[in-house]
Amino acid sequence: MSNGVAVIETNGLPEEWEVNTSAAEEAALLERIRQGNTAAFDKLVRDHLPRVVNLAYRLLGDRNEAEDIAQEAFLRLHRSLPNFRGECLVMTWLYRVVSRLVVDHLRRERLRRRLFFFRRDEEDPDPVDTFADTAPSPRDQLLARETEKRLFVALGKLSARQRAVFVLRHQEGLPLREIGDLLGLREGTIKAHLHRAVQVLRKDLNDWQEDTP
Amino acid sequence: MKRQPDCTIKEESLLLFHYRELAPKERLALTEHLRQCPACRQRLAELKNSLASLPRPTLELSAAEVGWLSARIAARTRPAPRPRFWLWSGAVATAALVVSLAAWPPTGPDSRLGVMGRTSGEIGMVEDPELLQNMDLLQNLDLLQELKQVG
Repeated sequence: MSNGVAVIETNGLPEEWEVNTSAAEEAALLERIRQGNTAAFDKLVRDHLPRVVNLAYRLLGDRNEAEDIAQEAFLRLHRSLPNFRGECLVMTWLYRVVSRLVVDHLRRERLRRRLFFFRRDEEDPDPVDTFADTAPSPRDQLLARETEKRLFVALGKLSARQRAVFVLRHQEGLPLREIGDLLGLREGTIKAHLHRAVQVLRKDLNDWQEDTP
Repeated sequence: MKRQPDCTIKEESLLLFHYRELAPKERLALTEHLRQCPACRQRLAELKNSLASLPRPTLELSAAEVGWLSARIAARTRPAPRPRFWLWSGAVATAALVVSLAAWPPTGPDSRLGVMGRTSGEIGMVEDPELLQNMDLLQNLDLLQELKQVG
């Protein structure tokens, strides 16, 4: 990831991701941060933190890892502020950094596991996930919670890029062109990743629903 | 449900149609096809249902959790404290003073180190009678010289 580059051309965030501060207010806040106002940076963090943690959580499926990734994204933002020219929203910038940090993180995890299990193909199911604890939840647990858990298991069977493309398109509502910009991939590749991801998820979740009494 | 004999619509096209990611021309053509192909309409409906049933996991962060995480981030953005050179130089000076005091030769009768050092030296001399003899000779020589000066 290029830490120094703090400008991207995209601003097409889903409406719900728009922070309740105007571009002018954000620019003023950034200026105060550059002047060394720590309270201003704290406000920026508090404004964006829940969204950033949630994005990382949807991509990773693990709360602790999501919080670590969010912290790392804000630290990179802090380091990049001197070069931040305000040509995009801070949230857009964070979106990009979080997506790439997560893809890198997932790939490192995959590599670590593949080295252990000597898998031949990245697209092969991950043995750790295949044998993951998918025991049914307690009876009083809500079905939604169980479905969510199952979704993360199914997402774990995708490659890092397939997973990122699916979450960014389906759950975050980003257009494919924007996702291509965020991840540095061509639109054709993005479409193929999305298709493959949906195929795997539908099959996995359909099988699970059929097996569920 | 039967597909039209000339139906070549792929699953990926239906997916992109659902996400409104088809180019306008392709979208128009597929819309037209769907009007005439009940099988593709069924496939699209199933796809939409599957995707709609997927949950959207969401974490609810409390104000306390946001505050705690923000504080951690703020702490990590602060520059690392610079080494306290004045503290180290003071410690080094104190250590040097202690070492030099310990190595200083004893001057007073109260110095236990000095007493011990002198006593051990004398013991060494007692163990060497030849050295004692030589010292006696030297003392005698000194005495003779003093007498000579007086005389």
